[in-house]
Amino acid sequence: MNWLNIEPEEWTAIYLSLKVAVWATTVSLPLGIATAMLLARSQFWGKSLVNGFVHLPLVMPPVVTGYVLLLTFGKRAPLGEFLSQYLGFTFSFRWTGAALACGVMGFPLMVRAIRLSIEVVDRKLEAAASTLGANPMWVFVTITLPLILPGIIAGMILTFAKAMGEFGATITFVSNIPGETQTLPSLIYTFTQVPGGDGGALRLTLISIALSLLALLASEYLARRVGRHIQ
Amino acid sequence: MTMRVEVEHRLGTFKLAAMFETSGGLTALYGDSGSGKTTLVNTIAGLIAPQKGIIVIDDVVLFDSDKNINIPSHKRRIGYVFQDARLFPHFSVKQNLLYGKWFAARSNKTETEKIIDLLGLGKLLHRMPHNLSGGERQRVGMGRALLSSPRLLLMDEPLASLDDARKLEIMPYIEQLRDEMGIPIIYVSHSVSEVMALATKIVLMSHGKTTTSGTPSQIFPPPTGSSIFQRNAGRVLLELKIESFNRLTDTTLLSGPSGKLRIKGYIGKKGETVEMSYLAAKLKDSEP
Repeated sequence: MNWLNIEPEEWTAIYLSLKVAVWATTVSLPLGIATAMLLARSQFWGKSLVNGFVHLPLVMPPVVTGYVLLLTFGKRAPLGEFLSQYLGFTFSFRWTGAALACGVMGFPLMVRAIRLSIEVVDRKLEAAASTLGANPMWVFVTITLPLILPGIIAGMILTFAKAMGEFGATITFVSNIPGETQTLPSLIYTFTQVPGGDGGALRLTLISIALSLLALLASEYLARRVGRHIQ
Repeated sequence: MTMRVEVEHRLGTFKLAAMFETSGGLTALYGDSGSGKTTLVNTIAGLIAPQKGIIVIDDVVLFDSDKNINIPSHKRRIGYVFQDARLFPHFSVKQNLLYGKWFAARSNKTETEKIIDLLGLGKLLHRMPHNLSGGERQRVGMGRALLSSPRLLLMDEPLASLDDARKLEIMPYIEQLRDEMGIPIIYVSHSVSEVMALATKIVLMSHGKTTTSGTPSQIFPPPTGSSIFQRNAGRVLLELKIESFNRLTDTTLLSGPSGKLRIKGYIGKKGETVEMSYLAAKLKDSEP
């Protein structure tokens, strides 16, 4: 890739973006599966409220989401203060905050994809498994989970792609600090704001497109592999 | 084995009020579609909790609404063969068969081989469910239920989705389960021929209620009142008289109380009586 003349700060941004996206996807996965199960399978009071809350980041301006995060997890916000004081964990102006912002923005996409796949699972298969002696936990692990795998993969890819491209919420919540919170889109933005930054912006744009395409191809391949098993 | 079932369950306008007892063998629940047969077996399996009632096998109380006992389906050890097989699509035949073994307390290798052998599943083990025929799928479903070492086997119209040829292919396997495995079976059906061929006891159901029960000959007495139909190891024994032999077509014409029958070859002299054993299903299918 040296023919592209990628500068060290650009490598840092690429690496940071990948790290943030991987963390955002991995951490939100179990939460996403649990939320999707809850929304697809149970009836409870206030379900539409929960559903709406989960989908908020999809419909709100990203800047607003970022600002809400700042109000909740910022240094002087009650929750942020509590976390840093008692658990030694800070989100604001750290890469972890970028991961949180990306995770929150990608969460509705993940939940939607997984929920749709849960809704088409034939529950009679789960009943059959339980007559064979499997308790609800085992039914979930051995029957439900493998059958919704395509939905899980789709949800992960969407979240990953969203995280790679997230800009508004991230820059509002954790700013644009080189080496800490300056992800790919933030750096592209920075390049466009300074004279002579066109070359860097173009390079990163190409890399961004390549990464997105790669993720898409990987998801297609995985979905086809899994699909062959469960048809 | 003794089993007592007494359940009441209301679903919208439908009301199930069923009561029967059985002590092993193959008990057929017979009735029209919509008479509540499947709902009844689902309560036995623990897939539906009835609003009221009691279900006891030997000394084990599986369900008792008065004492608030409702053992969950995965702890009941009741095998269930579904009408639509319900094989797990992401597992091979072998993995489907062994699924229940993960949870069974004891595991017996010779038992496994015996069941695979009995159902003729040896050649199918590495196939995936979507590559199986309807009859093969049902056989795998039976094997899977049996291999979870159940104390009771429920079969909900296991033949209903199969064509006549497949039915004839599966029937002998069910006869063998009944006779060789010694496992009590509750068999749901709306086909007289299946019930006559397989059942040791019949419970009639209509509009959600169990009406009568008895042996097959009590429930479906022979049409002429004579002893022409005799049950013998799941088959119907026919007593027929030889009418004539046709040299040109090499066939013998036989007559019974309900009609005539032509079969290949020379069987005996005119006027002699012969006994023939027929699978009840086949007999019904060949009715004129």
